[in-house]
Parts: sequence; C-alpha cells; structure tokens
Amino acid sequence: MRTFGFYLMIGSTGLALTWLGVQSGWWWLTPIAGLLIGLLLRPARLAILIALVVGALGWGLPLAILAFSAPIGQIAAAVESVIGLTSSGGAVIIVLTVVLGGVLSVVGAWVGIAGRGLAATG
Amino acid sequence: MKLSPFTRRVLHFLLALIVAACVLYVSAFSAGPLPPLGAALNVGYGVWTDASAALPVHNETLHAPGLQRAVTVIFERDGTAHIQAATDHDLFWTIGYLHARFRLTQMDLERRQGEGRLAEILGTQALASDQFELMLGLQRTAQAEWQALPANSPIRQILLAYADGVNARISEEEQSATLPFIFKLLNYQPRPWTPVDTLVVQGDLIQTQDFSTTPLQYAELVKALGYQRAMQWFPVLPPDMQHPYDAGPYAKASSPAPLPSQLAISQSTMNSISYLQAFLRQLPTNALRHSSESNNWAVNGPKAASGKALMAGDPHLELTLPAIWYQIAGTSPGYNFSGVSVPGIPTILIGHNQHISWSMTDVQNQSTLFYVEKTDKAHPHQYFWNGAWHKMQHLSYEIPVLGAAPVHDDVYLTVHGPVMPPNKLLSGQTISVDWIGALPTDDGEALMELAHAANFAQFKAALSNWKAPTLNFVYADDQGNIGMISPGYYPIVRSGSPWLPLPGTGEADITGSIPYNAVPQVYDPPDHMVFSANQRPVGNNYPYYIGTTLNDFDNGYRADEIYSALSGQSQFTMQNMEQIQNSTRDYLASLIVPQLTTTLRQAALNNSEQQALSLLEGWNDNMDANSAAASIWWTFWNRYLSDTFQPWWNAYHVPSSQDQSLVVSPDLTSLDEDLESWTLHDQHNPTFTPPRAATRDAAQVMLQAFKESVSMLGKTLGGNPGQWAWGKLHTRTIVSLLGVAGLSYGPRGSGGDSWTLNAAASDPLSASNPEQSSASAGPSWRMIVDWGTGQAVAVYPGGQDENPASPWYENEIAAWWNGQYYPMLDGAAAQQQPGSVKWTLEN
Repeated sequence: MRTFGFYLMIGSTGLALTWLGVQSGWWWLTPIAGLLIGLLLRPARLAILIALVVGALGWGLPLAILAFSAPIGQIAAAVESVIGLTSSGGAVIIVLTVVLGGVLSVVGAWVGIAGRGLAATG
Repeated sequence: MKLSPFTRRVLHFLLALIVAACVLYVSAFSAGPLPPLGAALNVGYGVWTDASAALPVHNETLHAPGLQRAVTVIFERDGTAHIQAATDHDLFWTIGYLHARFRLTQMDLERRQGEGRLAEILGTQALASDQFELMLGLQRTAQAEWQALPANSPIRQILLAYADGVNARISEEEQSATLPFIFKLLNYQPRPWTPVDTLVVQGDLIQTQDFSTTPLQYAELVKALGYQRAMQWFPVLPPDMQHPYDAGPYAKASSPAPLPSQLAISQSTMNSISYLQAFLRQLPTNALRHSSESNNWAVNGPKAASGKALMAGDPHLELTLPAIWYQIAGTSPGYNFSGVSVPGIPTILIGHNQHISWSMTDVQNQSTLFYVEKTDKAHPHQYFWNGAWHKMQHLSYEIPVLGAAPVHDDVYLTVHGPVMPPNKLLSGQTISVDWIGALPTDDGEALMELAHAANFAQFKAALSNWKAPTLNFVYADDQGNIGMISPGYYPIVRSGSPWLPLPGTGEADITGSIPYNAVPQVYDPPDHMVFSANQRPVGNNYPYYIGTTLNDFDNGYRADEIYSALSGQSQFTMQNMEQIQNSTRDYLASLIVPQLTTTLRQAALNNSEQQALSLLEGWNDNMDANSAAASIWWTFWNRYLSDTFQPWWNAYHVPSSQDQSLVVSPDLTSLDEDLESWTLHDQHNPTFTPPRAATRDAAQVMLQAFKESVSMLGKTLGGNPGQWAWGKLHTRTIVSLLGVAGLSYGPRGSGGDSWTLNAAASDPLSASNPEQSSASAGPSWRMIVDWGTGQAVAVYPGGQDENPASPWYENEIAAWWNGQYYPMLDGAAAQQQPGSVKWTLEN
C-alpha cells in the first residue's frame, strides 16, 4: 500500500520535472514526468489524474505567474490572429497551453501504465 | 473472438504508444497552420517570451560585444531612440542592435522578400513573389554593389558595423530563446545579417517606388482603342494646367527626345503581355509601384514668420504595423542627425542634421521599360539584337518551399534585362524588362554624405551619384536657403515610344541618362517657395521625355493645392504647416463643383437631389469624415468618369475585367485630367458623346452622373442626404505587415481622398475590387523643421516596437490621426524628459 507521502513525492517530482522543462525549453520532460507517474503510481485512474494535474499545473502555473507582470493576453491574441483562429481575445491559446501540458503528461502516464501492465504479464 | 490478457495488454500498450506518438508529433513538428506546439507554447521559451519582451524598457547596462567604447541610448517616452556614441563605428553598430531589438521580424521579412526566400517560411503562396524577385535580381544587384565597394570605403565599414550590431542582438535572442514570436510560430531561426541584406532592403524600397508596368497598360489601351485615341486620352503631357516645381527655362537637350515609332501592337505581343499580367497579379501589393503620393515643400524669406527657412515633408506609403520607419537620433564624432531610418538600413532617409533638413517625394518618372525580344524556335534561348543572334544568360535557382519540394527556377537575361515572366519563353516574341533599379547604385553613400552636408552645394554634390528611385529632395538650411532637386537615372532611349513596349532588336535601347545639371532643380526661387507632390516636376517644354500622365506622374491636384496654400499667404509658422499637411481640401472639387452646381440649378431635381445640391452649395471642399457633401462629390466624380468613358470602354473592349488597373476610376490619373480640362474649357468635347449615340455635352453627363450618385447614396446610406457622412463610406486601415486583421488598426471612418494633402486613397464605391475599399496608404511620416526657431516636430502612424503587446506598438497613431506632432528633441532634452529611459551599452 502506497502512502499519501509517496503520491505527494512522485507528484511533486513530476511537477518539478515539468516546471524545469517548461523553463528550459525542454517540453519533452513533461511526457517523461507523466511516464514516471504512470510507472510508479496505481491505480491507473489515480495516476492519470495526478499526471493531468501535474502537466496542467506545470504549464499553467508559470503562465499565471507571468501574467502578473506581462501582457500574456495580448500575446495570446496575437498568436491566435496569426495562426488564423477565430478571435477569442487570446483565451484559446492560453487554454491550449494548459491543455497541452496536461495532455503531454497524460499520454506519458498512459504509456507508463500500459508498459507496466505488459511487463507484469510478461 | 476473445483475446488473451497478454494480447489485450500488448494492444493497450500499442494504442498508448500510437496516441503518445501523435501528441508528440504535433508537439515537435508543424502540422498545417499549426507550429510545433511543444516548442511554441512552452512558457519559458515559446511565444510567451514576447510577453516579457513587451514590457517597457528600463534603465539598464547591457553587455554589447563588438563595441569599441561605451554607448548611451536614451529612449523618449514615445520610444524614439537617441544614440550617443564615442566612435562612428559604435553609432552604426548600435543602430543595427536597436533595429534588431525592435524590428527583427520586419527586417527578416524584408530581406526574404527581396532575396526570393519567402516561400521557405510561408509555403507555396509566396512562390510567385520569390520567382519574381529572383527574376528581377535585387540580390544580384546587391551583391554587385557590395563587391564594388573598396575595402577601405567608409560605407563598407558602416555596413559591416551595422551587420555586427544586428547579429549581436540575434545571438542574444537565440541564446535566451527570446526571438520574436513569429520565428517560433514559423519554426525557423533568422540567419546572420550581412551587408548584402542591407543592400537588398534598399532594393526593396527602390522596387516599391520605381517598378511599374505602365507600358503594358499602354499596350492594352492602344490595342483596344487605337493609338490615336489612346494617346488622346492618356497623353504624355498633361492636358490641364499644372504647377511644376521647376518651371524652367531649361537648357537644350544633349540628345533629342524620342520620336514615336510603333503605332500598333501585334497579337503575339499582346499574348505575351496577357501572360505577363496574369503572373504579375499574383504578386504582393508592394512588389509594384502603385501611387505613392507624397508631399514636401519649403518656404523662406517673407513667407516664413521667422524670416529663415521652414520645411515640411510627408512621404506617403503603404501604412503598416510595424511602420516602415524607425525614428532615431544619432551623435558620434562624425555624425549628428535626427530622423527616420528603415530597419535594415543603417542611417536616416529623412530628417535633419545641425545645418540642413531634407525630405523626399517620388518623382514617378518612367523607370521601367519593356522590350519585345525577337526570338525563334530555330534559335532556342537566343534573341536577335544589333543584327545578330545572341545567347541569353541563364541563371538557375532552387527555391525552398515550406511543406513542398524545392522548385527549380530558370531566369534568362538579355542585354536589356530579365525575360518576364520567368520560366516562359514564348515562341516568336518574348518580353524582357529594363528596370533602372537593377543598376548598381551608390545611394547608401549618398545618404551618408547627406547626413554630413552643411549647405546646398554639398547637398547637391552628395546626390550627384544617386540612381534610383528618382526622388524630389526638398532642402532647407540654417542660413535661410531652400531648394529642391530630383536626382536619379532618367533613361533616354535611342528611338521609339518608351511608354509602349519597345523593339528589343537594338534600335530603341537606352543610350544614357539626363545629365545631372539638367534634372529638375531649383534653389532659392524668387517666390520663396518650393514644393513637390509627385506632379510632373517640369513644364511641357522640358526637352527630355520623362514619363506620361498614366501612372507615371500624379494628376497634380495635391501640388496645385500646395501651390494654392503657399502662394496666397506669407509669414507661415510651424502651425500653419501642420494645418496644410493635415488638409483634406479637394482641389479638383474646388474647380468642378461650381460648374456642377451651376448646371444643377437649371435642371429639374427631385427632393433628395435638391437637398444634395444644397449640401454641395454650402460645402467648403473639405473631405471631412463627417461631411455629407464629400460623399456626394466623390460619388459624383466616379460616376462622371464612368458615364463619360465607360461607353467607350465597352464599345472598344478595353480589357478592364482582366486588368483591374484599366477600370475607369479616379486611379486612371489621365482621365481625371482630361475630364477636368474638358469640363472647364471644352464642354462639347466629342468624348462626351458615346459611340453611335445621340450627341451629349458635359452638362448633360454631369446631370446624369449627379442623379445616379444621389440614387446610389440613397440606397447605400439611407434617404436623408444630410446623413451621408463621408466617414461612413470611406475608411482607413493601417494593415499589419503580416496581413493579419487582428494586428491591424482599423478600418476606421476617415476624411481625405486620393488627392487631398492628407491623402487616403480608397475606392469605396468599387464592387470589383473590395481590397481597395479601405485606404491603406497615406502619410507615413509627417515632419516640419523651422530653422528660424530651431524647432522640429514629427509623427508617424505606428510605434517603434513590432511586438504587438508593447506599449510602443501603435502609440503614435492617435496623435497622427488627430493631426498632432511630437517635438524632435535633441539628446540632452530627451534625457531630461520625464519618463525617459537610459541604456548603457558596454563591451
């Protein structure tokens, strides 16, 4: 039986890894963090949930912090215009960023969970 | 079928891998319009870094490798940069650094356009532009210019210092992952800046100002209307009274003016032209010269309240965000200037130094000649010239295209220039283009010498080697002198009609240019004023051919308006000049509306027409946004042109549906001049009578056009003529350089029209060309220098920073729109300005 502390430690490690990746340009650390979560945590649904939170927070929190000092809404709106999305004042790009963090982490976790299952069968 | 647990787990794992691979793919690679999402949206390194870069600059010391000594940069509140450098090298290094800091995207797009490398980042949509530029050869010209510069040439050192400054900033941004967000969205890194890139950007400007297709239009008109009628309606010399700035007397020409030699255009030539026109229609707006419409003038002596010289200049260009201009002031041991630079070019183009000021308008003489080359299937890739067959020079290019295989491009050159369009050698006849912008030029050196000049002799000497674009340089100095000169290469052909495609067999080749002492110029004229507004700069007795009334010179109404404003008054102040620059008075309306109202008073009018007449009678000829009479006038003039000429266009099948530039509209400047002249002096001109129709005169056509106008406006703007405000029909847009509506300003209801001094050319009534429904060109920079008071003011519609979230993205638009100006401060005043910011750059 895993303790709450263990879940917290793995989640925090994943978040730290994701945060580091986001700050360094290594976006691919996010699926690796998810992979670790998927390999180490069970049940699978809880691992997916934790991976989702870790990915979304890892990408969303730095953005939220940046928003206190810099005009991220205007940049998001500009990006939206350039790539031809219907104008939402930048909301689509901000949401997309947070969702991308979550999805990258979740697919990593999914691979970890499936791989762990395969290893257990083998 | 029941699967075993192992198989299920294998399938589960494979499914997880496939989904993960898909997510990782869109995160790592571009997909359709989407950039690689992982890299692009990464908070620390992706597009979001532009949010931090948009924050207002603050006092700081920056490490600047490559500087010889420490440099100070003071930013005014509005973003204007003042550079104080201890060496000339450091001044130009810092200009490069600032251009890259605030305009890197713009610079990279400019050089890519000129070098034919847009498709590499934008895909097939930019392929035609790349093919055109490779054919035109801006990069070939730039390379020739660079190679011709001696190793010890000062301009060479300046170009190198500037490139080093740009590259220092690019390296900094690459290392900190703070490149502008466009690079991240388009997923590429800017390559290092080179002096050749600067010369290519200079070529871009020449192309926008100087490359025109007038002979192709003349060929279409001659083919449809016949030579005599085409030249009657589109004459070389203006039929109306104009105000050239250099009214003569002129020295006798050193070579004779050309004589017309070809009066008909063959069908095979027309086929080549049609093919070429179809290709040209795919190009971006700035690839060809459209109407540039700039103003400049100067007064002195009794015309200036200060008794010294007073100068004003407002070059009109496509208005974009970011703007074409970046405002700087620079001081170093060898330089002291203030004005506007173009990102990519290391000095100011317009501005002042301690002793003189200058601004420019486009001469708009004919700088592009087309030649019909004689070719033959028996002599592939050869052309017949001077009595013999010659091999065309062949150049091959590979154009990289985003998302597609590279495209092979062949360019063939004759003695006249590149064959157009590329990759097409029509049997029997082929068109080549001889464009003055393709000649290597010393324009950069001339600009640097301008910055040094202290009097008119030095000013004139600095411009003596200027080639293209031909420009009207207005001049004023601290001793109270004023002047104007139009340097450049004015091609003289041996024989033939240069306004038509010329025979390429040798007899119509360019033999030289008008001598520098014979180009249009004046200095301290007795009436104490000089002015230019793209009008024909010389009188009809000027001994050289320089262009025609069609798309070469402007119709002259802005010049007439400047003449009217300056000649009727003395003791002008800076505030008077501001009012003139922002004037929306329509000079043509002041001539025609009295004729129209006289006609209408004698006609039977319905209630709406009567109200419209009353509005015109009480009108001051100002195209204000809230003026209903302005809407009536402009609609009337369009209908009047159409009712006069369209029946002829229909009867003679002028191909205006294929070539939009031939649509009857105020843009066909020759027709404006014709109709003005006939209305004032020849109301029974036979043109008023359509082919095979009952005789009409000007009064009948005016009445018809007026009634149609009132009906049209009623349908568009409602039944009450008092509510037909011009601003409801006529708007301005300052378009994003990326063509993105969300980053543009407007459209916003605006005053002005095609030939008001505050020009805002649009075609709000055109259903056939919706792109022209909002004015996108206009005064790109307004500057006034009063040498009596030592004050200078200026403003431009944009901001210093291309970052759309920056407070300096569009901060000057409001002042520009409202006719306000900012003082052009010197460095000390800028430093004392509350809110100014200081950067120290140290090696």
